[in-house]
Amino acid sequence: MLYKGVLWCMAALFLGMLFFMVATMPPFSPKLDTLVQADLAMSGVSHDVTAVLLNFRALDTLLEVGVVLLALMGIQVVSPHFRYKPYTEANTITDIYIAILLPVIILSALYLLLAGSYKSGGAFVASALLAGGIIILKLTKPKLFVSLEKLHLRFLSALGLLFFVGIGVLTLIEGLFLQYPLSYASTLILMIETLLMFSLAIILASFFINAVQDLE
Amino acid sequence: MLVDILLSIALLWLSIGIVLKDDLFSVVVYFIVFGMILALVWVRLFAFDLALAEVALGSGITGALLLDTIAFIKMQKRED
Repeated sequence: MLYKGVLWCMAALFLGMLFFMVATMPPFSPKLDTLVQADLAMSGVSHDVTAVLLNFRALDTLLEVGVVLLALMGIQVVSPHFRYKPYTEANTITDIYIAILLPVIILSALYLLLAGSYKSGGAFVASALLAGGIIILKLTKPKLFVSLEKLHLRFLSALGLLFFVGIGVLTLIEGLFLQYPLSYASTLILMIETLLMFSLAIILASFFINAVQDLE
Repeated sequence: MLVDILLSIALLWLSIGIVLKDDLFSVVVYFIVFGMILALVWVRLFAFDLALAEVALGSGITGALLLDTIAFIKMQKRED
């Protein structure tokens, strides 16, 4: 009872602080936004968020992908101890469900990837959608995943980061790390985003798949 | 404006539920619904990419992992 009282008091205090901070917030001044808009023509894409993520602050994105990959390694090191018997019987409902849903998911992921260069979207969102699709496939058709080689999957999940670093090393020849030449910028960004989408989708789906190993 | 107020009230109510509910399963359901309402808030703030990422990662994959954890805990309790 005391524990809940303390919790309520902390919540009320936190809420009060939140209201205070919102009330005393300085007015919004889009200083960074004008800087981004000024250099947008040099980035190779026409959407500001994608320009920041994959050109102006590409190093941050590279390190972020590295962190996600490290998290996957951590999960793979800890061997899963939760084993269950996969559901393998034919089921009309789930069969029709994934037959309708999976093409839509793949199509929307590809659309989001391509749309990233001129409006909201991009590799991360597309990979999150694809990962969801893979998890649905894993839960409804576990037999498909039996023949997959662990080594191939590891290589695929690292491929996006490898390509990203490779491009970075190549850009060192002419300028700074990950400073794309202007004429190649949009092609390079699209290639990096495509590979990142596949790698990140496999990594995010592996978060789930590695945690729930099938009973042999 | 009214939509924003309703959304914030829903978020507050859901977050209180997440912290204070005793039943683990309903906590996870509250968490998933919280993620979806939060995605609506992102849409209201014109951050569509964040909204999609929130739905797919925050609600979808994290929710699936949490539901799985509950199944694991229940299975362990049965074995004890």
